[in-house]
Amino acid sequence: MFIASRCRAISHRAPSLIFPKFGQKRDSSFQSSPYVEDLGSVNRSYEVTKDTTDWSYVQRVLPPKVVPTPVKKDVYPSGWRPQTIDIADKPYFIKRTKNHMIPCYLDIGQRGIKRTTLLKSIQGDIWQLEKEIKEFLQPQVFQILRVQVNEFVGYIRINGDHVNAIKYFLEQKGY
Amino acid sequence: MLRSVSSKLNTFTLKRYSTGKTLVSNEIQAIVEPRKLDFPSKYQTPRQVWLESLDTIDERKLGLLELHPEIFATNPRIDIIHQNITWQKLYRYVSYAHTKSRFEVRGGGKKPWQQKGLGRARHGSIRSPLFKGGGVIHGPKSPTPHFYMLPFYSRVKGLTSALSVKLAQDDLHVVDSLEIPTEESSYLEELVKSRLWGPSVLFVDSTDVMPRNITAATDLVRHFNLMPVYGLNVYSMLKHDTLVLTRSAVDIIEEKILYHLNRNDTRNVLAKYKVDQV
Repeated sequence: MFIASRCRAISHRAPSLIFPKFGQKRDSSFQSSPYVEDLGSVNRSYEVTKDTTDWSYVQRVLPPKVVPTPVKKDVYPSGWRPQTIDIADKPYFIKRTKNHMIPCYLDIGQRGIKRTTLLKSIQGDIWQLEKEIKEFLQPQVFQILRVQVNEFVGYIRINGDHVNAIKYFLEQKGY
Repeated sequence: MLRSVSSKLNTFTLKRYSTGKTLVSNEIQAIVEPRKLDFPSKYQTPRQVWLESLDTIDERKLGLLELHPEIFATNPRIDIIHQNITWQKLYRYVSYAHTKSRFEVRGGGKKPWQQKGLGRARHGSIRSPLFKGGGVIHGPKSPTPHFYMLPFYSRVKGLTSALSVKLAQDDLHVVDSLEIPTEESSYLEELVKSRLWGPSVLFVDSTDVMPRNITAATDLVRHFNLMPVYGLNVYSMLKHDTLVLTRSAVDIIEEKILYHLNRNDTRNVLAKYKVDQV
């Protein structure tokens, strides 16, 4: 019913005189093809159901409103790991993003020359984390590691591209 | 029963252990209002706040509420609060300053004096910007709108920062409802004075149809304002000394902000703001 009434409302276009109903038309739009109901009597039959099990199949298709919590598995094929930290005596904490990823990013500046690693969403003793990151990263670089700590906003910025190293470091600790 | 428990409360102390969990005795736990926090924080403990009532002038505690730490105890980002305040001031501001250019000032069509022979500087119009009474170069034109849109998550963070600042400074109070026994404004003034809520108070309820008594009482007092929860904004929170939320307003604030902090589809809200968008 709904579709039929809509079609009638739209079908104000005069039918083409040059081309018959089924002919192709250059630069045609969706409106130039004939409507189904113009082809003859169409039998539309459907049934309305209020079955809750049917609705559960519909719900399964609908996108979730908020990011779902991941299903628990031992190993994930992508290599992603959930946060397994027990915060009992941890001085600091890194909150995962809403997509359950470690908030560590590569910032590229000065037209691709300057590369810095940004670790965000740090709560707790940020200076302890800075110390541990320095201990972890310093053997891997030749120069003295330059690290900027912003306690107010809760981020640490490290000179150079150490994104994967930082992610590995945090994953080992369960963050 | 609640009254008797709450009167005893002052004798108890809340202990904080290194696990980050607040341990409370059984009697206190009895009056902690059951409240399920969605998306619980793994590190921060829920912030506790007294549930108060407006039905007596003296402070009467009905229980303890737990508030979500990511909304009521985030980093007090005063930079983001400032961005929000600037934005709220500017988006409604239209500058009506106006100046006329040399072609809009009346006259000046005739060459004031001949080009050569007088020993004077050459000029073509008395309305040139070099002349007194002449036009203005690149002057302000009226009307100049200053509308812009702050990024969506700056606005959300502004709300959480402002709420956290208010709670940390003991300027946020939660009441069970905005029902007061009388419609005299003197009752509310005395209540605010006795509870040291400061001169200006913003009452926020979940609905925009408020109880009759409080609307009548705050009608003529210009520093007591009522606001539905959908109107809550950073500017008003900072403008008033104290923010009084009803319990249902707290629920809605938490639900909406948590949804935005964890929502799946941010494509539309992160897109560039179009002036004609709905």
